[in-house]
Amino acid sequence: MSHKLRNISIALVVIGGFIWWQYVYIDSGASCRIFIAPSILEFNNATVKQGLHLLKYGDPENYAFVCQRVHYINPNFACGGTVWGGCFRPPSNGESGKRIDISTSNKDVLWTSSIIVHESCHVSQFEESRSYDEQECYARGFASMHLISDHYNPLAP
Amino acid sequence: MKRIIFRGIWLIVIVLVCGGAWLGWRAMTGYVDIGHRCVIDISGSIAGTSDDEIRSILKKIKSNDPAGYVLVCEQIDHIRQAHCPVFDETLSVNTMQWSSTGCYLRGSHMVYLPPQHSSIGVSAQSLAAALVYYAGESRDFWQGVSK
Repeated sequence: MSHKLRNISIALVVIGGFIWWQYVYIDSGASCRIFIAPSILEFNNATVKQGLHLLKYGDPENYAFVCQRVHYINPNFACGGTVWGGCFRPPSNGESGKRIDISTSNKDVLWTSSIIVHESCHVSQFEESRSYDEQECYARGFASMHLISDHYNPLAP
Repeated sequence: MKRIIFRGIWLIVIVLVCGGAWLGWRAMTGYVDIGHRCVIDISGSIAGTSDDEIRSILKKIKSNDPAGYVLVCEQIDHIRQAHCPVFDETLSVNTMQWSSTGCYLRGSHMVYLPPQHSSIGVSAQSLAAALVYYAGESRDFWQGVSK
C-alpha cells in the first residue's frame, strides 16, 4: 500500500512540476499570474514565457501593463486561423476578457514579447470600452520592441 | 563493500554518458568550448545551414580578441539568426528597417544576428565586433539591474 502511495505521489509531483514548468507563469512580486494553454504549434510554451521574462527586465512598464490585463494566453492559431501574430476576441458567454491568443514562431522571443504587448493593448481598449484602434496597439508593441532591442553602430564614437 | 564500489562506478559512468550526450547535443545545435566554459545556443537557420558561419565568427573572436571572447562566453547564451527591426521615432511599420548587425535584447542574454549575413554584404568582422559590443551591453544591463 505504501509502495503504491509513494508511486502515486511521485507521479503527482512529476505531473504538477510539468504543468508548472510549461503552463503557469507566476511572478508574485509583480502580481503577475498567467496561465498559458497547451500549444499544438510550439510543443512547448518556453517562447511565451521567455517573452514575458524579456518584458519584465527589458520593458518593465509594459510588463506591468500586461500583468494587469492578461490572465490567459492561448499560444495556438490566433482566433482560429492566424499565424505569426495574435489576436484578442471580446469575451462571450462568461469567458474571461483577460485572454489573448499568441501564434508567433518558436524561439522568436522579441516578436513574441511585442505581440503580447500589442494584444494586451486591445484588452485595455476593451476594458475601457474604447474602439479597437490597431494603430495605438502597433505603436505600443513597436515601442516595446524599440526599447528592448539594442543596436550596434560601427560608426558611433 | 564491493557492491558499493560497483554502484559508484556505475553512477560515474551514467553521469559521464549523460554529460557527454548533453555536450554533444549542445555542440550540434550550438557552440561549445569546454576550456572557456562557453556554451551558446544557435538557432534560426533552416536545418542549421548557416550555424557554421556563427561558429566561425566565435572562433575569430577567440583568436583575435581573447578578452572580448571571455565576455561573450560570460554574457551571451543564445544567438538567434533572425532579423532585428530598427525603428525611427515615428515607430511606424512603414519606416521599419532591418538592422545589418543584429541587436542585443535588453533583459536577456540573447543576441539576434542577421541570417545569411554574407549575402547582404555584412562581413564576419563586423558581426564579430557587434557580438563583443552586445556582450558588453549585456554586462552593463545586468550590472545595472543588480545595483
